[in-house]
Amino acid sequence: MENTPISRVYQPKAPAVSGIGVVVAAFFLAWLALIFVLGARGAFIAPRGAPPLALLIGLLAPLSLFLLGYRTIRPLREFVLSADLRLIVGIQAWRWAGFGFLTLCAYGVLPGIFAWPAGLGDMAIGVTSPLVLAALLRQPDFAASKRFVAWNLSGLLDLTVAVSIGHSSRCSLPIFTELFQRLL
Amino acid sequence: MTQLPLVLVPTYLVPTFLILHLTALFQARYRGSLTHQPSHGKTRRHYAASLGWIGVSIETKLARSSERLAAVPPSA
Repeated sequence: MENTPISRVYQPKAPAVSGIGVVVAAFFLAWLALIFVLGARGAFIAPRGAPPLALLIGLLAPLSLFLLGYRTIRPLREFVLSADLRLIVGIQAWRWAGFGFLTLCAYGVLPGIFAWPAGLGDMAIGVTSPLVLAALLRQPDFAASKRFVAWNLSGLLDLTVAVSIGHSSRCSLPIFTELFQRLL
Repeated sequence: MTQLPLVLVPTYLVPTFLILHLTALFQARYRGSLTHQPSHGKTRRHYAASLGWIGVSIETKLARSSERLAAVPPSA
């Protein structure tokens, strides 16, 4: 009885460790390594007055690859549709770290116009993530409900607004740089 | 190297969280399509059933009328 699954909805259709899963993990690791290398070389630093195109490409490239792969690669689509939603929702709890934006704003490092919407939005998603996870555990059909969709759309909206404000005001990079130079 | 932590946020963490949200939305749509029939399909079937019922009822009424007519004795 201990091995009884919680619900039939969450039984994965694909094996837990499939070939496409390894490819996806390798992609995320390779992308992280690339960001480390390019970031260490200063490739994301745009000259003053110029738009942060490198940052924008760094943001949009993985998203575009994901959407393109989802549309065109059938195994990837099946992997996405069979991924464990409990894990996906649980990871979002890390966005409670958006509290750091408010802390930096309190110390005058970040402007309030960026810190408040980005920080509060991230914290809202991070705080409500355990509640959504509990709802998924209690009622697996919650994944197809309007409230679940609304929660995810709110998370998307928060990230979009935060990135838009950060890029448009160009506040994040120079100010964070100054902060870390002060700390180190 | 001091810029690395702040570069990671918009170029790695934000896309990762966006992809996770999109994955959840794709699954929600997929599961919704499994549990609920599309409205236009239901409407078409509803209309088809309604038309079928109307056809059957008209046919039945016509048959009853013809039976009544047949049962009525011809007037002199």
